[in-house]
Amino acid sequence: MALAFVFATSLASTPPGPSHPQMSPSPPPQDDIKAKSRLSMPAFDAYRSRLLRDLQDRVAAPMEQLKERYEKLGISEVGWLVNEGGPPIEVGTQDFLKLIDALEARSLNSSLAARIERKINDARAAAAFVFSEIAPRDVLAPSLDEYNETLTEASPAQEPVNTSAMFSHGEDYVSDLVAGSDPDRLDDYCYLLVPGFLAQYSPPVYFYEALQRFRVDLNLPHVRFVQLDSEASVRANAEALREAILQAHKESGRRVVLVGHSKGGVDAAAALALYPDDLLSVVHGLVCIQSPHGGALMLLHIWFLHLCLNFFESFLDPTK
Amino acid sequence: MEDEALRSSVEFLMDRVLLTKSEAVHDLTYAARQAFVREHPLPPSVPVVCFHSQIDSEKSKLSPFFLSAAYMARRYGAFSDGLVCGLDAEVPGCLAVRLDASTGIECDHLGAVYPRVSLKALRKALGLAPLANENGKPVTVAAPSGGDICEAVVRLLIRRARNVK
Repeated sequence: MALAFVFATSLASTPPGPSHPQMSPSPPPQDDIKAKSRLSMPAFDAYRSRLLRDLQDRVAAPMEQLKERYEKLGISEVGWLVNEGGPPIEVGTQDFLKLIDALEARSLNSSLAARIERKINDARAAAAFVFSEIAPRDVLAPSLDEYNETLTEASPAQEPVNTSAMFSHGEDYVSDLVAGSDPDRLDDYCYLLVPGFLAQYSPPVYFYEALQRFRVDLNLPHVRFVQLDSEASVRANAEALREAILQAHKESGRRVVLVGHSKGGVDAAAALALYPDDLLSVVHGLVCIQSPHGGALMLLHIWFLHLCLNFFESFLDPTK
Repeated sequence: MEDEALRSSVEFLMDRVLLTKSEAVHDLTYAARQAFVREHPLPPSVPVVCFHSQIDSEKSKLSPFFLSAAYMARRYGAFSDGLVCGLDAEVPGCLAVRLDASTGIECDHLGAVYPRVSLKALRKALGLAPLANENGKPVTVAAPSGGDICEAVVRLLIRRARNVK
């Protein structure tokens, strides 16, 4: 249809006549062109108008309907929760970045590469000491000085961490953190990690780094990964989470910090909103990592992913 | 899903053909979230930290979420991590951690929970200087690791709870 449309418009717009000027140097008289175009136009006009009407009916009107349907679905309401008002939102991005710098410096202090680097530096210092004692000083001294200079340049583990200047928590806090101590006393709380949508389909690395950090690196005893049915509704998950929170508080004897990723954050917030009498005395706080509190814009796309997963799973599982 | 025809067809597909549940998909629509939050608002006494990020440049074009993030930015003007918009990820009264374009860190929707090698930490461990652009501002090659993100966010929450009390 589109090809026919292009063909019709090109025919109607180009005047009929010889296209090569060298073959016929004298142009045809204007009256002939007008007569020919007058003869040919009504058919083309009818065809064009019919084509445009068809295009309008078949393409443009359904597109308008689709647009209305999407607007009805609420897809244009990005950020309604923030725009609705309520208590003000504070921004802690700079604090977060300073904390990340401090944590990376801490991991560098304790990492294998840094330990090897420190051993090499010790060996170099010992060698320099031995050479300076045994060998004649005037021969080796200039080269040794140069060598020591390069040593002081290339020792990343001893770089001062430049985070204390703007950090609102103070200089002691950052230096404590980098040195490996725990100024926040994370041990006083119990942690529940709540997974997000379709987490049971993911490879078993979900929250792996967080679990490793909390359990192994920081040696916290009370860290739990909550096994939820992430395809269930928010209310059902909130009820399951209520049970998990109360059980964790009972067994650990500590206040609970909820860490939810994606839909897990929504479930945790729903649990707090639905059962405040039970949970507000037990829960210390809520961390939401990339949680769609206002709604998910890519919902239809997630749904498509869901369909694909189930489609492929139905091949693997003959009982379905 | 407000549209009855769409909703019934989706539920028919999921119930009869695919034998799965559609409640989670329904609960994450804007209309369902609006109804739920207006009926049951989050109690203001709970300290909340909301972390969200976005991918909006060619640095993260290898991310599996790059296409959807580019689509959302182009179609709706909403910057996102590929699945969730930053504007939707905040609750009133929270402490927001916004990893937007000004921070130079790009972290997609699974960046905080899936393990990944941090090129930034690798450069530091090898003794290389962090990458910088012509203005001297450091260019962050990759997002911090998931363990660092989770620990930093938890520490922010605990300090915030202490300050509130």
